[in-house]
Amino acid sequence: MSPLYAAIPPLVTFLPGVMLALGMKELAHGDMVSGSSRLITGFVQLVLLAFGLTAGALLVGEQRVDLLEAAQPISRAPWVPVLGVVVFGCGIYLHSFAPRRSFWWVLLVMLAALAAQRLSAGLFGSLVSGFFGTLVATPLAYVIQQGFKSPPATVTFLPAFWLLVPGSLGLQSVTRMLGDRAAGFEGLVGVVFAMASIALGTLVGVSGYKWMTERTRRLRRRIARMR
Amino acid sequence: MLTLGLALVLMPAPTNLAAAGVLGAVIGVLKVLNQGRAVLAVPLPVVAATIVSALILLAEKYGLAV
Repeated sequence: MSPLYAAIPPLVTFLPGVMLALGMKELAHGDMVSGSSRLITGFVQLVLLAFGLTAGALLVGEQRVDLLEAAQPISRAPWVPVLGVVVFGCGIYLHSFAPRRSFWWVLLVMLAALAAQRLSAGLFGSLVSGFFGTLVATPLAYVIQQGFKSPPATVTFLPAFWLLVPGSLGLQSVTRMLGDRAAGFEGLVGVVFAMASIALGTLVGVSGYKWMTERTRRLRRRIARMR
Repeated sequence: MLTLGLALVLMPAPTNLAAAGVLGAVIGVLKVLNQGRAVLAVPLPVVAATIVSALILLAEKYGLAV
């Protein structure tokens, strides 16, 4: 098994995936200063983590390429990622001190995002799967906030966002770049595309939700006038 | 729990899950010890990554199938 796959989960709280995806979202929205500074900060964090991983390998007298041994495929039961999401949701709930009644909503948004991501990955490929994940998660979070008088959309949406963003992929690419520049750069381009698709999914999801609520409001006003 | 959840999503193998649990606890302790110390907050990701990769490669060196 690749040691890098074992090294990434413990470092999850340091991964700047959300920062990178938010930076892309802000740039797409036209907020150049905050977007670019967030992107640079996130990239520096990735480089620092990759440096730490390499330093650890060198400290114990291993070559840095030892971190990158090819992972062996593992047979996956379909319920394992779902269990992973549930455990991850519990972890986020405890880590972020989320409001008590928000847990089930957080879990629902995460599972919906994961289902959309997995389904679209099978249909269109993993690069654009993040788009569909956030396209489902964003309006769902707003519907939960408005329709069920539940926690704010940010509370239910951010954990799903954390699950979807390819922070770990970015770390893998940067670490790979230390050994094989060409392969690492190729991986990094893939990460940029994946983050762009997630940012676009968020923007389209928010716009779609706003459009839908505007239409519903107008329809309600029209019905009220008719009465 | 965050670590275990991500390990289940990324690469669900028993050794990987055990490694994720132990190393997640180590990083958690490190973060708790570091709370409120602004000086150590900046190099903490580097220190954490160094500890994690050193421990994983040491375990592998001594025959643990990580």
